[in-house]
Amino acid sequence: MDDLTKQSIEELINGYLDGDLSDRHKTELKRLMSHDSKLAQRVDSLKRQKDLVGSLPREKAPEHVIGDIKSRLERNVLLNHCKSQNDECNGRKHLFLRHIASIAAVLLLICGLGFVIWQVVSPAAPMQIQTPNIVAKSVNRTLAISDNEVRESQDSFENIAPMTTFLQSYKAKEAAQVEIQEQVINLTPTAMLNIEVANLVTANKLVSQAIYNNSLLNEVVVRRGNNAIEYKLTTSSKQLSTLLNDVKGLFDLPNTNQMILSLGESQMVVLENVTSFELNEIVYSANEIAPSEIASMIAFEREVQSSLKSTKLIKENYATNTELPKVPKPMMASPLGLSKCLAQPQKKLSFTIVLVEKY
Amino acid sequence: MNQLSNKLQNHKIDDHSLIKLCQQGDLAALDTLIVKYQDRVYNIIYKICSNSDDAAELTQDTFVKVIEKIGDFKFRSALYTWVFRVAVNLTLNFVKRRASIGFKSLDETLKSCSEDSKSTLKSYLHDGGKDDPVLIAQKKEVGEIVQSALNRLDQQHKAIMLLREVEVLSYAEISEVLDIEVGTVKSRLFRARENLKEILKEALA
Repeated sequence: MDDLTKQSIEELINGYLDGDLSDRHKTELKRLMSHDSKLAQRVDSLKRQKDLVGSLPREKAPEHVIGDIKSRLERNVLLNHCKSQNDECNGRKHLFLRHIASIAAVLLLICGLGFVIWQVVSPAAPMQIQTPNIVAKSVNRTLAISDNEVRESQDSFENIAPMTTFLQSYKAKEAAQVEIQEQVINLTPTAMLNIEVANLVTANKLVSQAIYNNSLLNEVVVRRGNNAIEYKLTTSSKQLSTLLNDVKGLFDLPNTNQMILSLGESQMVVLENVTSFELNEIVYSANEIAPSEIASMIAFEREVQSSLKSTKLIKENYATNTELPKVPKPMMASPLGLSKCLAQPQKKLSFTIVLVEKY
Repeated sequence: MNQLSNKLQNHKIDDHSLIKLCQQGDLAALDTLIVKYQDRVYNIIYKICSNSDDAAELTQDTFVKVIEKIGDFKFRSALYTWVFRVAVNLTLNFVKRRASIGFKSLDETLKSCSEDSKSTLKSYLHDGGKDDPVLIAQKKEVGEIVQSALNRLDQQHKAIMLLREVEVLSYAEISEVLDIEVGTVKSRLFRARENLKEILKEALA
């Protein structure tokens, strides 16, 4: 019996047992059974087994089943009711929290928007421009001046009216210059050289010529008063040094000048009778060392020199063999040397020359 | 409505009307539904799980589930097919979970049975005895032997066999209850019958 025949016989037996066979198939199976006693026995055995299983006593559900089902249904209904009540309660709580959260969000939004609108609409605070503390008073010794003293001394320039002096072309660039001036003042150390001159007109001519010769017309702001002229320069140390060299005839005289270097906002260093050599040291070294520091060094050197002089006198008077104290020489030049210093990118300095007419 | 009530009392109402009433929340209809099917459901469950307490519990589960879901019934199948589907699925899942416990083995059952019962059964099944199968099956010990032999079948085979031989469901109804193809029902039923025959033959040899 091949597989196909076997499957066909299985289907025939199944159909026969379940009464699903057509008359033709029933006849076919009976024919097969009459020729094959084993098949007949197999079918008969399966038929008896089917009848036996089908005749097994039917179990009846216990009487309590219906009651248990009802009680379970009632319990479920009650539980569902409680659950729905809890759900309702939780729902209300959730709704309340959502309302609170919505109100909080709206308030936060309003505050945020208000802040943004205030930032946009509110009038801008006036911009405070830091101006260098300028002292026009003459100081007779090397000292550090406190902030209060600086404020008191600022009255000297109150009567100096701002005005354009020379070169009409400068007027057109004034606004741009103001901007540059503000940036430089905030960035660089400031220095001022006060020079007492006998003839203000002659001195002005000399300085103006020097400015013109050094092509610094765009880097200068000039203010003129009754007996004083101020040249505010914002330029590199190299150009400034050349300019100062050109006008050294004005200040390289005894008791004619004083140098004021600001030390932040509250203090400044004042040097009297600065020589052109010292000025060059200050200006050239400005790229590495703050001018105020160099000025302090110069002041220190002066102190040392004066003490050496007095020591020399003592030696002469008492002819003692006592060795003089060794004072370290302050570094007056750039440690990198002048060439290296010049090779470096030049920092712009704010330097003011004030010519004051001597009475 | 009165006619329906009378029919309900006599359990002669058809399944369609019964479901409609149940869906409307008629408590009497729910009672009728339970009473109408509880024995059949309990019987099939008992024959699958072979434990009266478990069968009672599973019968309750079946009806609770049926009543809770009756509102969603769409009349795509007969009520009894749906009820049997719920019952058989619950029972098969239960038996699968309870697999480690196992049923009483056929050997144990045979040991506890008298030789008379065994020879009666053997004579009927294999020797062409002329006894009435109903009378033989009513004997408690014979019933236990057959039940133990059924328990050795694969659960799906057992369920198919019981649904066919005991509940006399058609192939289509069995395929609906077990959610399998009709062809699968036929082949599995034949395998189940052959397997049971072999089990009983070996046991009674």
